Amino acid sequence: MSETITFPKAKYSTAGITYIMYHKPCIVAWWSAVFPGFGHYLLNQYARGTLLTILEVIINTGAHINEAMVYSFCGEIDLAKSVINLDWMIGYIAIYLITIGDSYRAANQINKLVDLSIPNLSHAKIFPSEIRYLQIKNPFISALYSLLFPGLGQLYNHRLFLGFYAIFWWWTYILLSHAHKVLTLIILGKFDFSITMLAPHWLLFMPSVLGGSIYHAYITCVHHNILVIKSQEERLTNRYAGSKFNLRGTKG
Amino acid sequence: MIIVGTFKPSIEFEHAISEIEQYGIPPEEMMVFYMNEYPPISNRKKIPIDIHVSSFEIGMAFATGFAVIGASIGFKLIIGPIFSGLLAAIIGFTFGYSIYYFFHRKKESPLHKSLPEIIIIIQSPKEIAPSIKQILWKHEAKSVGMRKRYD
Repeated sequence: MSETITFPKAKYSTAGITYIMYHKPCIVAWWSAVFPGFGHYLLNQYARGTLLTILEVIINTGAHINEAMVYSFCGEIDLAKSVINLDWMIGYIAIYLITIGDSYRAANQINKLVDLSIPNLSHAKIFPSEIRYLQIKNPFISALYSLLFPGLGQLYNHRLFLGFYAIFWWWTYILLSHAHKVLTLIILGKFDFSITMLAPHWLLFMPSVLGGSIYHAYITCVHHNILVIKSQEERLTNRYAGSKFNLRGTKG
Repeated sequence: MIIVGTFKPSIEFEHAISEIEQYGIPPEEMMVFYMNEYPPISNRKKIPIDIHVSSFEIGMAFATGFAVIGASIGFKLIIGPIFSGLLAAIIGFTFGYSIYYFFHRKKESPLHKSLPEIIIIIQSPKEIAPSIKQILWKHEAKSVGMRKRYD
């Protein structure tokens, strides 16, 4: 007979703390729609999340989706029609929609598993190149770090590789869109020539990545805090069960 | 003697127990309680996520959607895509956050906000009871109680 039907809720690794926790499926699906792969990041499916985000940048660049969005929202429908590269379009739509559907389905399934999992994390675990530990942290600090530079909030939450991955992409977006240069010029009061410098394609990745990174940093921090308390509770109530207690009787 | 201490969940608490163990009190003579039950009004016992977290969730979702649209339209506006994107994000966040908060604030249970309390009960010989009390206070106990047993 199997010993137990439950399984551990979380695991330390060099990459960070991977856990399962309850998520609203529609929120997960929404983040997948914002940027394919972000929904899977929230579910702690980091490998496929990362591959999906790389894929999104490649096929979005090929199909010119971002430029088409700028033209569409500006009301220039003809320009939007002409800028789309038809070679890439049908594949983009298929991958985009299936990614949303898959994250929604996965969120539902993981929610069912959450009740069968037990919080099991020890205080800390030492790896050859990293030390992982749990600590109660402030989710707003984590969100603020990611607001200043996406990836910093992830580092605050021990998400090592995702943190640097996000930092790498944010630099890519900054350099290719010239967003920070334009921001500096605007602050210096040089409005006239600043807007024409911006590259719409790369700029339009930035709001989604910024938002997604803030949200991921915040919610991961909240979940880690729950893990801290639940793991401590599990550990301490098991060890200190008071089995030799005799509150009313004679001394033991 | 029976000694009772209350704590907030923290690493300090574990320092306290391990020190008490070093004093020779075996784990079997201690009992730890987490006050983890919530009043029946809130039937979401398993996830004590408070309303601000959920509101933030909705706020960020709106902010990001608004920011993408705002940045796109910004190419046609005088203020440019960066400011219109940021502005749209702020509007979106405020909108999403307040809508969610407004509709869900009644369901909030006051207990969700704070961390659960921990209670530890220790059974100890009379001679070392004062030192145990000291240890509890040293490690940021919120309150400590002590009484004799009927022998």
